Amino acid sequence: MTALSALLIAKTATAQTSTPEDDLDRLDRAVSTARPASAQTNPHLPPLNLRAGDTLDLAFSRHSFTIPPPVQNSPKAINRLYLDMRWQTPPAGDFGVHLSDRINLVNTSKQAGSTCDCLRNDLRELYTTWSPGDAIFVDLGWTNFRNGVASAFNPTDVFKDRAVLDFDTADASVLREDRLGPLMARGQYVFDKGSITAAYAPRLSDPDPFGEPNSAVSFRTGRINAGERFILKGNVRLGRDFAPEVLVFKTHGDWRLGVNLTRGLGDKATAYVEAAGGSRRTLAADAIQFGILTGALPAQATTPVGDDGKQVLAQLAAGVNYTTNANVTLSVEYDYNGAGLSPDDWRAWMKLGAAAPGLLVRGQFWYAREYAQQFQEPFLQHNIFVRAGSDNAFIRDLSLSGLAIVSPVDGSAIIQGGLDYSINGGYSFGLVAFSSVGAHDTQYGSLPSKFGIAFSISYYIK
Amino acid sequence: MSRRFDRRSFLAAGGLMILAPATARADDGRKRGQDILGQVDRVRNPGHAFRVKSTLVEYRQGRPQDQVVLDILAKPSPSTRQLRNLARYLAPARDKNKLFLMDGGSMWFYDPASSASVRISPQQRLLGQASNGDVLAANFAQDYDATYIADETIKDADRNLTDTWRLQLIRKAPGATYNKIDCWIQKSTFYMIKGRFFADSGRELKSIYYRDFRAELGGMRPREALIVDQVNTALVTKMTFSDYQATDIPELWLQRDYLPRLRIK
Repeated sequence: MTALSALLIAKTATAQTSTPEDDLDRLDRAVSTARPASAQTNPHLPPLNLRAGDTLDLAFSRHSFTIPPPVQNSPKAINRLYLDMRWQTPPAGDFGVHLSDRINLVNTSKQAGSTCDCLRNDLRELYTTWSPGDAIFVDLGWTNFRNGVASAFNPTDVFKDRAVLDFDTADASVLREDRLGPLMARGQYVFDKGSITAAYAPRLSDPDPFGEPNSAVSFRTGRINAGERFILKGNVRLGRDFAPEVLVFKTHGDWRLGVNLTRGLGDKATAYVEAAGGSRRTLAADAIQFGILTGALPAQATTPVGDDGKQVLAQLAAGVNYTTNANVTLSVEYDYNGAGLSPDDWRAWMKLGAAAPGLLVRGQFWYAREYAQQFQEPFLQHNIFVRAGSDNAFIRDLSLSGLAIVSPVDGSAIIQGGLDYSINGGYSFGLVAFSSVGAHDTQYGSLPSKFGIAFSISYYIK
Repeated sequence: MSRRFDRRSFLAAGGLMILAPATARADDGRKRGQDILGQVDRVRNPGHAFRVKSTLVEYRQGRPQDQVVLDILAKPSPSTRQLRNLARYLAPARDKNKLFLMDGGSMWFYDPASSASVRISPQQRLLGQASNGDVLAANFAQDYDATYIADETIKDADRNLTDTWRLQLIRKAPGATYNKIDCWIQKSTFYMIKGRFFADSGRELKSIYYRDFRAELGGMRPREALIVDQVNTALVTKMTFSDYQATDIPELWLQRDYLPRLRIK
């Protein structure tokens, strides 16, 4: 927050009152003497977006733990050279095809373990759309169908399970841009005041274990179509700024109810609430079951803390976005995961793990954490997400962002800062650095990675 | 008691007599301001759905930076007459096909990369120093309460002395971008030639000069808006409006859930 304060002070320090004559002088200097920029742009955009780039991630491990992870690698380096493409058929007729794909050449340092050094294709979307009327759409194929209005945690995002391949940022909004869509059928009816959508993704395979080989050509059904999912949702505008979205969905064999709601608060702020609930197992119990199913954990494994059975559990994300006059957007979100570990469960697991070196309980602990990341659910019940970002900060096309995911229970946090600089909307350079801070027995102070940094360069092919 | 009551009544009556002309003047000012603003809106916007290309170039220390080009579709609401807008990025390359929708009550931003629509505030700037509300078409008379302030002679963007009416606009509709606008209307034409825009805090955010009025869609419309940033004084932004077209915009296009489906020719 200190850096944010400095940013705000620096940005507002340039402000001063100017007279009309000053304004006209500035106009004369700026516009009248400058050569007009070319505005040659075809409104009929080509249907292909291409981007080439490279990302280098470096992670540095923590060395002392209350419960040591099974494998320690320090430092770790992963380089990804990629070609990213998005394409859709030009607007004509009732049928359309959408493609979103990324071809990666992945190179991993040998200390990093099992990740492949290979060509990897990430098929994010490939689906056809049939529109028998102006307002009816039927999609079939690999579709990235995202739900939820929250920024950090989306309890209603039924298709987020194992959809992200590379966790190279703590910013969920960035992770969402590069995730895999499962094979599904989706129908949507849009009307003047709202819409109704239904989608079904079948179970096509047994689940792959974590760390499965990433072969060059794979639909990854064991990752993204390893469980049956169904969703029915609708929203309708009931007032000027009141259009709640209600969802019924089935995932992990359980039915859940959800709601999404946003509201404007003046001209600078918006507020949102996203919530879901239903009968289910806890996150830890789900993780242990998944480990048994995939053969990663022995069949007799049970949850060391909490309850293995199903119970009615709720999840909630509520937050506010606020934009300052200097165009700094601040977001604060409270996340509650009723299926996550309670503070008492966390302390109990830590105590068990510390007292039982070499036993199953340690492996289960790290397996459950991996599960929480892969299925994008907070491991503990309470989290606070804070983000500040500014586009065109100090100079044009320089974007700065900072975020923190804080455990209100133990004060530990993941802190991340990033910058992105674009030249003429073509080349883009990025830098992201994160650190996990806190005592060894805290939620984020116990993470294997203590510090990480990622460099990226990309070029948008015009 | 009776005497005290009489004195109160007398004072109240006297006060009313003093205040009455001022109140009447204020009412006249509001009526005149609203009448002028209605005429201004008729110049700024056609009364039907239309499409326009907007090119934004930001000048920093007099040097043009990269540009943003938007394809803007605007349609009046049948119930409120407020203009609802749909804007699509044509350039730069990294932003192309991103969309934002402003339907009066709310503003949504859609990024094809994440296949997600995100609620944003009117003040959030996606376009450099220009607010989303600066770029999108708006019916000021629907969004603001206007009061006539005075006759003033000011210099327009080309430094020509111009006789104007000065109006003060105060936000009426919750989705309006600014809390307050001071604007100057050229008497002979009803062109809005200058505006000063203020935040909720009362701080001036920017001045905008409008110029190069030409015949488009059955009326005279500005082809350029020059934004002088009052927060960062090194910045000036030029918005150029071109390719005006009358067009049909289906109501469905102005639905946030329709944004992923939009295929504009």
